[in-house]
This record gives sequence, structure tokens and C-alpha cells, in this order.
Amino acid sequence: MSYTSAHAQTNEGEAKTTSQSSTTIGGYGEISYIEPEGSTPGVFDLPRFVIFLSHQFNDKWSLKSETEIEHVRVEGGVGEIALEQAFLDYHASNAIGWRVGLMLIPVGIINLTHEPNTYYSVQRPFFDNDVIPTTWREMGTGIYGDITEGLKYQFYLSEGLRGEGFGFDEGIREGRQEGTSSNPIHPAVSGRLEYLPIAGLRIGGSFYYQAVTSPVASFDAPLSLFSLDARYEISGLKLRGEFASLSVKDAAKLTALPRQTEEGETTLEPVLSKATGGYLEAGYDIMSAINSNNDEQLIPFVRYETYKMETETANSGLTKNYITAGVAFKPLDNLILKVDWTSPSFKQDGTTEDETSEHNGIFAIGAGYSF
Amino acid sequence: MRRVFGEQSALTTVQVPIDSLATAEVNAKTGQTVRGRVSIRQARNAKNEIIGYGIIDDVRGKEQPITYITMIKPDGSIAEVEVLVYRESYGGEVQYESFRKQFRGKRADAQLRVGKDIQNIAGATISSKAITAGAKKLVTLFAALRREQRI
Repeated sequence: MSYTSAHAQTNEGEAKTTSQSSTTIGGYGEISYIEPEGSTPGVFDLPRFVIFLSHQFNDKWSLKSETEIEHVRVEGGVGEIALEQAFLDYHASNAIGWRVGLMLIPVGIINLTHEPNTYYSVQRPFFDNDVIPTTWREMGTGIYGDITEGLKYQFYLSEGLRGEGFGFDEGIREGRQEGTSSNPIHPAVSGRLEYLPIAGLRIGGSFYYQAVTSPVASFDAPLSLFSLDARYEISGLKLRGEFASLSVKDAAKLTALPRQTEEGETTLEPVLSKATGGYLEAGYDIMSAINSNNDEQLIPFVRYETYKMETETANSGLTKNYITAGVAFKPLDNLILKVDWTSPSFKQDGTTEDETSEHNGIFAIGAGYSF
Repeated sequence: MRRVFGEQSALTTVQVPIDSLATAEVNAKTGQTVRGRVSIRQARNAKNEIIGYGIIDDVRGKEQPITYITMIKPDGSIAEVEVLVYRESYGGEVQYESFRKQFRGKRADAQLRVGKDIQNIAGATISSKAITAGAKKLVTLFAALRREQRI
């Protein structure tokens, strides 16, 4: 990040507490090569290129925005250019601030913090695609701040998910409106508390609740999601975990709604009624054990994910397990190189064998940056 | 500063030019640049003895400058680091005492490496590093000017 204040590298000794405005440009991006079947030729891609533009009007008012280009360019139904965030903040005090605009639903770790140098795998956790529909953002407004030192809150009212977009494989993901002329007829409330008892530990708990998911339905279909997460870092050890439980009531009735896929085809895909699970990840910075003075980090890591997705039909449950192991190298704080291998195993309820025969594992190499 | 050095202490400010020797020493030890002059606040007790110093500065957070003060005891060790103005929506946890207390007692010769000597705040690494680099810069500058008997 660069900012227009002239005091960046000088030490003139006087507080710059005056209300000066400044504009900041930054960004993040990812480059990846992924072999989804392990041995076959894979996909070389630049999945995300994001530009931050933010402006501090004074010490209270600020604008933050992120514009994202997905998969390099938009052509033939591939790629996307979208605002990922664009909101105004009024930071009244540390105790309370007000926010309005296109903002992140405050659930979990990755949805709120997804610069590629903040996690070690090439791809985001699968859990953060299937259960928490990362990057989950909607138009909304709400408040945030510190209740007391070490206890933070966010509480928002936002537009909700469209039940017509729900399915099974992608869960509630395609229900996101993402702020495009979105229909606020089924609003949602969401909130998050974070507790930081010591410097290296951050524990978070979030909820999301939406009473109605479809205007055409003559029934209530409440959707609720609860999540817990924690990050703990101490002398080179880096632990994190996320857990969530999603419930879509009346999923069977949503299944019966006339629904269309993104390509405009009518779908009969059953709608997910429950998704529960999470992951645990451990990494260790080998460089921390070496008495070096620079910022380099070399972090072998392993992550175990397990979650179950099911519909209201008996024996519909599909349990997905992923073990991901790899190494991340950070030559600088804002740069990361990654390589990892993921072994998936799926189990359908009512069957005895793993449906893993077609999966040889996922091999991935990537690079990422943020500034 | 009175909260740290005593409510009765008298505060004065002196302007100290930063000479090339101090600039070179800070640059060599911290990789950071200081130049111009520095305003050093001095806290004095009833006997008019200096019992503490304070230097206010900006460091760059993720997007916006963070204004902070590093308070230093006459023996050159850090008495306290405090954030005076934090302007961003995220990373404001560097204002928490659980983070700031790690600097107390550190001298210019102490290593201040984030993740090693100073535990960063989980999920707020950038601002943790910014404040740590700033405190290291100021305590090193203070020691350099002290050695030159400019303070």
C-alpha cells in the first residue's frame, strides 16, 4: 500500500492527528497451476486479480473498495469482473462504527480475510466454498467496534440469499445476490464476535439468519448458519480451524420451485437442507527456529477438512473429507509461493465404500501477493 | 505521558536535529530512514529531573498511517508504546495492552522480530509489524542521539 501522506518514511516527531484525506491503491492476486485429477494435464490460471481503492476522507469517514477480475478476462461465460466490496465507514470511536454498502458477511476466517498470503494452500479450503460460500458479500448496513479491549463485534442487516439459486453440489452458493440490483425482499441479519485474550489468539463466532429465502414460496424457509473459528500463533506454530453448521428449512419445498441454473437451464437438483463440518490446519515456520533477521518464512502445513452435505431425503448425506499437505514459502510478508497436494475421499450415506476411486488427488502450485 | 511517568510530571518539548551519524545508525540497524529533526517530549519530576521521554511518529498500516508514541525511560528502555490515532477498519487490535506490553523494557540492542520476539496479533500481522518496526526505529534513534549527547 502507498498513501499520499508525505510522512511515510520520515520522523518529524509531530503527531499527524489533523484530518487529512488520503487515497490508497493496493491489491492482491493469485496465480495457480492445478491438476484436479493428479496426473492429467492441469489448468494454469490467474484466478483472481484484485485492485483495492480506498479513500480516507478524514479520521472518521472512509471508503473501501475491492474490484476483482476472475480468470483473467470475461469472455464466453468464463471470467468475471465484479466489485467484491465497496462500503463507507463512519468510525465514530473504537466502540462503534457504522458501515453501509457492499460488504462481506462476517462469517468465518477466509470469507473476511482472503489475501493469498494469509493462508498456505493454493486453493482456499473446500469447506469455504461448499459450506461458507466465500467470498460472500451483499448490500447491507450495520455497526462494528470493540465492546471492550479484546472483544470485537460486527452486526449487520443485509439483503439475503435467493432460494431459487440453491442446489446440492454448490449448496447455497448460487443464492448469493452479490449486490447486483439485488432484491431486498428477504433480508438477513448476521453478526460476529471476536475474542482476543492474548496477542497470538483470536477466537470468532458468527451467525447468519434469514427468515424467507423465496418470494414465490407460500411458506417460510428460514436459513441459519452458525460458525466458530480460531487462529493461534506462537513462536512459529500456526494453528487455525473453522467449523460451521448450515440449516435450510423447507429445503424440499425449495427443491420443488421452478429454478434455473446460471446457464438458464431448468434444474431439478435437490436443495441442500444441512451442511455441517469444518477443518483444522497446522503449520510451522521453520525459519522461526533459525536465528535469522529477515522476513522469510518457510511453512510446511497440513489441513484436515470434513463436512457433510445432505438433503431432506433419506440416505442423501454426502461426507467430504480432504487432507491437504504442502509447503508455503514467503520471501517477504506480502509474497507467497505454494505447493500442495490434496487427497479427497467422499462417502455417500447408505453405502459402505468410499467414492474415491476416480480421484487421484489434487496437485497444485501457486503464487500470490498483496500490497 | 503523564499516565506513564506520573500525573505530576511537567512536560516540555525539545527539537533535536537528526544528524547523518544518527541517520546512518538507524538505517544500519533497522533498515528505516529518519531525517530532519525530531520533537522529543520530556517528562520531569518535582526536582526537575528528566524521568521519561516521548516521541510521536506515524507508521504505515495496511492502508493508512497509524500515529503512535514510544515512551522511553532515561536508561534507554521502552516504558510504553501507545497508539494515538488508528484510522483503519481492521487491525486496530494493536491498541490492545496485550500486544503493547511486549515492548516494555526493550532497549535499542534488543531484537524486535515479529513472530519471534514480539508475538503478532493473530489476523492482524500487518499492523503488528508496522508498530514493531516503528518502536524499533524510535528506540534506536533515541539511543543514537543519546550516544552523541544530543539528548
